[in-house]
Amino acid sequence: MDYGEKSDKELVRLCRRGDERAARELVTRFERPVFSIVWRMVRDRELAEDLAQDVFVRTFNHLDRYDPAFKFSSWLFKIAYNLTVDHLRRRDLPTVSVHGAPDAVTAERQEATSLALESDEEPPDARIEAKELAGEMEAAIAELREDYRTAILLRHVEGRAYEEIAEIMDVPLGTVKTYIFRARRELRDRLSHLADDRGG
Amino acid sequence: MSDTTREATAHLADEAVERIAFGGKAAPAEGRHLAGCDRCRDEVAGLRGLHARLAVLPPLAPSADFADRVMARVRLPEPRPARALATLRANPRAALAAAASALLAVVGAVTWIVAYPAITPGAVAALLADRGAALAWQGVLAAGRAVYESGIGSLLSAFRADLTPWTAIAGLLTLALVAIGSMGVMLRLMEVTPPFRARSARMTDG
Repeated sequence: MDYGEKSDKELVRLCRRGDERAARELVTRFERPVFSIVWRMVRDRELAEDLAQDVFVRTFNHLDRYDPAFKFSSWLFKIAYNLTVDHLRRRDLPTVSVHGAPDAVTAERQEATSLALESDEEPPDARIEAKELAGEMEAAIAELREDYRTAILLRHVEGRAYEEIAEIMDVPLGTVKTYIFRARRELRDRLSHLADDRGG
Repeated sequence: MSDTTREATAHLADEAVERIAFGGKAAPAEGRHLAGCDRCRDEVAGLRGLHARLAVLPPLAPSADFADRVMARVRLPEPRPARALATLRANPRAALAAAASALLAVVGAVTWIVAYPAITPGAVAALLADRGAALAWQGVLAAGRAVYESGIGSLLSAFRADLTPWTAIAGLLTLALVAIGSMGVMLRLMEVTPPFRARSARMTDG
């Protein structure tokens, strides 16, 4: 049985019958987008891995609560959003740069709190420039309100539709549009110097 | 105010800006407006640039053993046959109720075969196919008459002088309904929850 070709809902059906390989396929399929959005919310790699694990564990241990009328990815992201927001509201997390948390005093801690890029096949200069640009983008995103940040990441990075984002964040469609439009405005204002520096 | 004037003074809605910025086709009126409105052209260009920057954010990946660590903590439901056996092992009273019901069904079938050896399932099927409902109704009447003449009728007649096969049939049906109801009460007292009740209790989100 090729699990890679099965739809999310078929895999969920198999998981409900106790099929662990179906569960592993779902984890493999969604680990990067879930980790990505959690990391960009909490800005700490170790913490993001812990929270992302919790997201999947909660998802699979409560599969009986999943309603197949909705997309599995929407439900998964909804759990990720709720868990992450709950964590953010319990702690006052600092904003960190892509190079690691400001309180990272050892090399190990800096590595643990910095971004993990998937590929480093670019030339070194391009990697440095990309990392600097990414750093400015990530810093600008980190300064957004958490709901603006979630909405714009789901829309522009994960490519989710407005209606799906409304389901994930459990807010009206109009509220999602407001979040995204305001987030765009703030990011454009904060990043306008990049366009000036690079001549466009 | 004319449509042209309205076009000149009103700017594009946010939805139109997004649609055009992401490659969607501009309506004729939108195209005319963009040609003459610096602000809206800047909005479209700015959104395209922002989207391009967001789209090239580095892809993030968790550690290589992330899936292994997740699976070590996940508890999937057991496969259905194993789950049914586990339920019976965990609830001996449910197993006893199930076994008692099965035994009653077997005893009833054996009693029927012993009491009426000529009436095999094949013979019943043939008769029903031949004479259908009429035979079925005659069978019901015969069962009632048999009960009446078996001695139960005389016993009951001590309580009711006008007992007839009809009242005997009605009495049997009543007894059957009472038995089914009693079984339900017994299961409730033994704290055996029907499956459909357990499922409807879990109506929460993630």
